[in-house]
Amino acid sequence: MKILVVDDSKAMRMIVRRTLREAGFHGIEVSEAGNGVAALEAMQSASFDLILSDWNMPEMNGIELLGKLTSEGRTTKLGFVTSESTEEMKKMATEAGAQFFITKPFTADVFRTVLGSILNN
Amino acid sequence: MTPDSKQIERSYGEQIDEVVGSVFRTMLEADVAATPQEHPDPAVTALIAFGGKWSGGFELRLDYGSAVALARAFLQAEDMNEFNDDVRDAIGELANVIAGNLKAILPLGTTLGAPSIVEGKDYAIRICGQHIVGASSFASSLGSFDIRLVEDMKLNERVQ
Repeated sequence: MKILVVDDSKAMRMIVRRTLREAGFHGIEVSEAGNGVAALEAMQSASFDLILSDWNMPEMNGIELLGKLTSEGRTTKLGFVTSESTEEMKKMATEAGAQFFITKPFTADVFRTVLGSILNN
Repeated sequence: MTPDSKQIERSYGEQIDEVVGSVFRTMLEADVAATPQEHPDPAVTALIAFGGKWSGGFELRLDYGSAVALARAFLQAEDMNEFNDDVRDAIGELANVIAGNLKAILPLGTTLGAPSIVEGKDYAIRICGQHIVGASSFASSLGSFDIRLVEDMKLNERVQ
């Protein structure tokens, strides 16, 4: 299982990695990208089973990344891990095809619950 | 109820306290308590702008020692002892998480900018038409800090 964590904050990428471990998801290969453009570049040289993406990022934000993946016909699952917590954002994400919407602050329990069915399949 | 810019409550102190408490319990595993007075001469400010339907700014202000201690706990990096880019990034992200949650109580269509870190004591941050709509000071075992939510009233009155 390969996961791409997309966030412009190195600190948050570290925290997401740590939380995946704390949630009990071991044996997962985690890569990182600092924004949507970097994520697309990473996807040119590797395939990922799941993308955990922030929403607000420079150059290409998370919803633009999801739109780009959809328009290119890619089937990689993408979900948001973001400090955006409004219903309008959640609705926009769902309508764009996001698999889930995790709001910061989060816990390992939240990761286990939300990601369990995706990562354990 | 969805917040409306015309009905918006002008004081967010209670909401700031709730969000900060939640972030500390969840991501820093530390208790935090509101304190009655601001901390003098904070040397580090994380600043985030709000735009769209509600214009203003969010400020997280603290001293260097508190910044390092908070970043160390946030990242669980025991060897983090000096103020550097990793600390700046962590404090910016901490501010982003708090401001992002506060955005939920602002009018629909409000947008959140990227965090900036300002250092030093000899500066002032002014937002045109500024009006402080929420201000709280906090103390925890990880350090102390102040938070302010500032509204650009002139711009928001025009939007309304």
